[in-house]
Amino acid sequence: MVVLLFCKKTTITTATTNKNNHNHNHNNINNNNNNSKDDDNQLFNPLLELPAPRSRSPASIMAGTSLKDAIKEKITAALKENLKMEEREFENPWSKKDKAAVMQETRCFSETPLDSAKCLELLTRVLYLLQQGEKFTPTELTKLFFDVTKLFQGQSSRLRRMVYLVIKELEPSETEVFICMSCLIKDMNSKNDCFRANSIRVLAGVLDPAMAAQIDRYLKTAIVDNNPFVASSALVCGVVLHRNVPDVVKRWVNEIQEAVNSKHAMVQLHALTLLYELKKTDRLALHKVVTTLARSQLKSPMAECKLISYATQTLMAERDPSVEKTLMSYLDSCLRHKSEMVTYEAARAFCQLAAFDTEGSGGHTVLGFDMTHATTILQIFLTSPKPVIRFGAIRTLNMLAQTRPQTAARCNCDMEPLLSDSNRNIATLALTTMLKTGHESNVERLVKQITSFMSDISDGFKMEVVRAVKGLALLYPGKYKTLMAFLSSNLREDGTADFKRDLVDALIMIIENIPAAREAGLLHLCEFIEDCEYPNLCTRILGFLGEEVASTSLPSKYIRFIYNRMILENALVRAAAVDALAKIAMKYPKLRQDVLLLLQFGANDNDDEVRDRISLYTSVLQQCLQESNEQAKIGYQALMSSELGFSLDALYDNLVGHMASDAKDAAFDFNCLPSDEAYAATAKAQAALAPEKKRPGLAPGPKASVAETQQKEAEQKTTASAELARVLSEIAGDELGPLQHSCKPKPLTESEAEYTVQMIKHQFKNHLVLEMYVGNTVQGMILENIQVRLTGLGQSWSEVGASAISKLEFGQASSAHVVLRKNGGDETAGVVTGRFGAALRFLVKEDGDDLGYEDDYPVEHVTITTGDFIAPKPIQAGQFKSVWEQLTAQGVEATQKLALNFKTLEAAVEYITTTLNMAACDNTGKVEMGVRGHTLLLSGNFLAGQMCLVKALVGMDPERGCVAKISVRAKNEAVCQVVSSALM
Amino acid sequence: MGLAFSKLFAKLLGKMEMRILMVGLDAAGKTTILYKLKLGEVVTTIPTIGFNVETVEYKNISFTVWDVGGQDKIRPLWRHYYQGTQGLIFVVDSNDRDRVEDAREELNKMLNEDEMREAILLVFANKQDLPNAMPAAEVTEKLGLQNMRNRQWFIQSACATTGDGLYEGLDWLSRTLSSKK
Repeated sequence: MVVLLFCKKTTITTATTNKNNHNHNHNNINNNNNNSKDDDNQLFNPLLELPAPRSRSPASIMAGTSLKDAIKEKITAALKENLKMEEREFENPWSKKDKAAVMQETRCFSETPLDSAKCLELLTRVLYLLQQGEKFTPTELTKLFFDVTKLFQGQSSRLRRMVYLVIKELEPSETEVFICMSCLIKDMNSKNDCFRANSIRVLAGVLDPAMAAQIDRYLKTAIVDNNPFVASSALVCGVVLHRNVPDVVKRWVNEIQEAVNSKHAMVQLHALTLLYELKKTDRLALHKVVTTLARSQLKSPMAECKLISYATQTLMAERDPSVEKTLMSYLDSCLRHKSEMVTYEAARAFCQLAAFDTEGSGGHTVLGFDMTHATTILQIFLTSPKPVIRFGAIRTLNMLAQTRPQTAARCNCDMEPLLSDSNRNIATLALTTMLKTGHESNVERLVKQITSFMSDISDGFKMEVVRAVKGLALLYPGKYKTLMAFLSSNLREDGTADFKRDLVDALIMIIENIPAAREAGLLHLCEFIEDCEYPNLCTRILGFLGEEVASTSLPSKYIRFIYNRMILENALVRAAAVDALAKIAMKYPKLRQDVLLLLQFGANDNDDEVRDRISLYTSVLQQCLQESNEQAKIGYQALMSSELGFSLDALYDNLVGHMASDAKDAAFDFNCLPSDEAYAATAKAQAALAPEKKRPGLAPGPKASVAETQQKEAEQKTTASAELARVLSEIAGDELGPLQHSCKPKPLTESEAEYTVQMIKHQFKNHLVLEMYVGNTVQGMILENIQVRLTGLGQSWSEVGASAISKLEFGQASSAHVVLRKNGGDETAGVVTGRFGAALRFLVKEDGDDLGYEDDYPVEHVTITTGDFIAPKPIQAGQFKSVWEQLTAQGVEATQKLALNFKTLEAAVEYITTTLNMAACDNTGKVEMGVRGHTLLLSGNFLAGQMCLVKALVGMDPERGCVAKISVRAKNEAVCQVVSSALM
Repeated sequence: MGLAFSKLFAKLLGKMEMRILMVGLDAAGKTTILYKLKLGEVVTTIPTIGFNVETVEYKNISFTVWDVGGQDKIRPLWRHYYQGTQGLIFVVDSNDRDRVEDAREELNKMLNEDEMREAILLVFANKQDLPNAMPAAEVTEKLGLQNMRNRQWFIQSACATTGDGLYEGLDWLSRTLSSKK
């Protein structure tokens, strides 16, 4: 808009100057303004001429000097007037004309001779209308476009510039736009710099590949033109052309290289952009360009910013030590650049890389470079008087706080004043940053501050705040009261569905993770559904209530809220409410009678689904009340629960196996089915065995349908186990028997080691197979005959045989196996533990080297624990007790008391769960805040599908530290003994 | 105000502005004619994609000549340049006997347009230097010029490369247009 106004003003100027050529006042004014630039001169002229007629008063004519003074006075007055104009209300000179009037007036474009002043004004109007989003019909646009092309007959450069602008804005269709091609090509070779540059800019949008090849040489010379505007235009044209006709642009490399070293800031920027576009697909060439440029100082700060972002991208694309040092020291040097823009970009680059380089030695370095300087710069920017700089700095710190809160926290003292920044975006960002970096002590104060401005920020920021609060709740569980009050008060306010959903998510998450917050949180949710306009949120909360309410101290308190939904809401919510009520009743027997009554009230509901559910649940509840048959209850509980205790895939596999086996007349045993998690782990372990057919990075073609991929996966799975079976039968013959259980893969090396090794343990009745999955990540190296060497096997284990990997090239991965036999273990239910050293031995060959050399590659020790013989198998919520009782009748129990060396209950619980490799039941994996004792319930499948349950009472004793009492129940006594002693 | 004065001056001094549209099939020699008139020399041309516009001063008349490309895909766009045309120059390649029928069709189509009702027609039978070129009389017949009613027309045999006949054509245009005013 500024440009347009400028054009308009200058137009008036020329018109008026022509008319007043002989006015000597005019000359005077020019003399007075000698020092100002030409443009300013022209801008001021029309306004300065205002007092001119009055200056011819007789008095001033009489004395020459007084005339001069009078004029000076008038000029100062006029200038003052001019300054005041800015304070006056802005009146848009273009807003009066509508589209129809403009279209009517376009006739003047076809007039001979042209009235360029009039045309200019009209073109400005057209531009204004286009910018305002005025809709032109296709016919109108066509007419306008052709009328505008007629203006090429005028030679006025100002008019021509507007014509270029309008053509670009009109975006004429392909079938029409070539009509001005001839004119553009002519202008491109004109002597007028303005014509040359502008025509190139229009051409960029108009050219088709055939034409581009034709005018290629003109563009090439334009890149190295002396005029920076022309050169920039040609370079930008190159950027646009590169999308469609990269071949043409590639021929300009030499010229572009030359332009990168141009002394003009803009040319340098555009040349760099184009150079990057050309090289970005070629990794090595790009590295070379970026590192070379990083070493030589660029003159233009903008180009410098661009280079910083390219360098960052290069660094983030992959870890390559050869370029890392150069580029990082370049970024570091940019932190000391004299331009604010560059230092900011460099600091931002450091923060981006901080998110990428997660290790960074305790958060103080990025790729080996200290990042204190970068944060200091951002800290200084936080106090800048310019809002945009404050915004940039706080936004970057916000990003940094997500990955390295400690580092960002250093700027906290300068962030605090920003909370009251007049720009709400800055204030919100400052707040969310502080929420991430904040200390437990000032949480309350922060929350108070958020509440104060929640109402005047946009929904996007509100959601950002909710996310931050969520993170804070997890970080400081003790502050749940304040945070939950904040969330629920926002639930009461108006807000979009997305915002409400985020709030509900946050509340549910807090309830799930902070046991103490449970009851209060559930009440907040209940209150919310009382007046909730979003049915899907309502059903979600009802479902959650159904799961949670039964285990609260007073479930009857919540029944009223749920029942209200059942009678007041739409069918969807009513059905969910019925579900919730029935679930609570099943889990909490005392309420069954009451809920039954409530459900019967809704028996005449007018919705089929609701009625169906009610009648089903009523009959179930009635039976439960009449028969005290426990067996029946378990059956109904399955009906209530959506989760199955075992994997459906496993059920399918095992049923197929069962039908094929000889024992198909026998009853199928559900208990031996693995859980989803365990089944997935086994499948993963076996899939890892599959010979690596495709190289990494080669994704399956996009056309492969879901069904096909599934089929492929299934095939892979079967081939994987078949491959394992084949390898093993080669080594050990048939003596192994069926596979009992495969453990999750465990890495034996760092993930970025030269050769990566993962170990998978396969359990058989009398044997253990160790599978070493070896990957080669060193380019140019080939490994041959890779063997696994185990040392220190001891008495318990003896090696039966091993398989080797014959050849492993770069990027490949394959498996070597070792088969071990257990010596003994009969009285320990097959459990034999051990710990031995392991190393790989192989022949290393470099590319093109025939001989190679032998090398030993030690990896971490192999440990075999009791946990390796157990697979986690979660039991449905609420059923642990009944299964535990069941095992009392049929099985045996072993008890063990131990003192554990832990400082907190959480750590002890975590240790027991992972060591035994069992699944925590009934949400006992989490420890409530501030309690001194905790009961952990675990369940798992021992080898060959024997159910095994563990009840662990863990407590903190002020004198003896952490103590635990472990009770194990299983059908087999040996199993009990082994498991109970596993922790010792 | 200034504009009004300059118009008056132009009238007094007899200086006139004329809007001329020059069309014809592709490769008829339009662009060569335009630049021969403008610069007095033969320039190397490429097929015109779009149009060229130049002002040619001749005998105190300023001709604004619109030379619009003759390729198939451009012909439908000619109509956008009809408005305000006082004189139409139609250039024919006299050596191209195969396409003279196409030329006739295009010419008729154009002259039937309402916007071209007032325009006078000058036909250049171009490329007379080639041995097998049709003489102007034959071109007249092939284009069906003699059957034209309500239209002032003139045919001029010409050779753009040597400049023969071009100014004669302009002479006719200026005479006819001045008498119309």
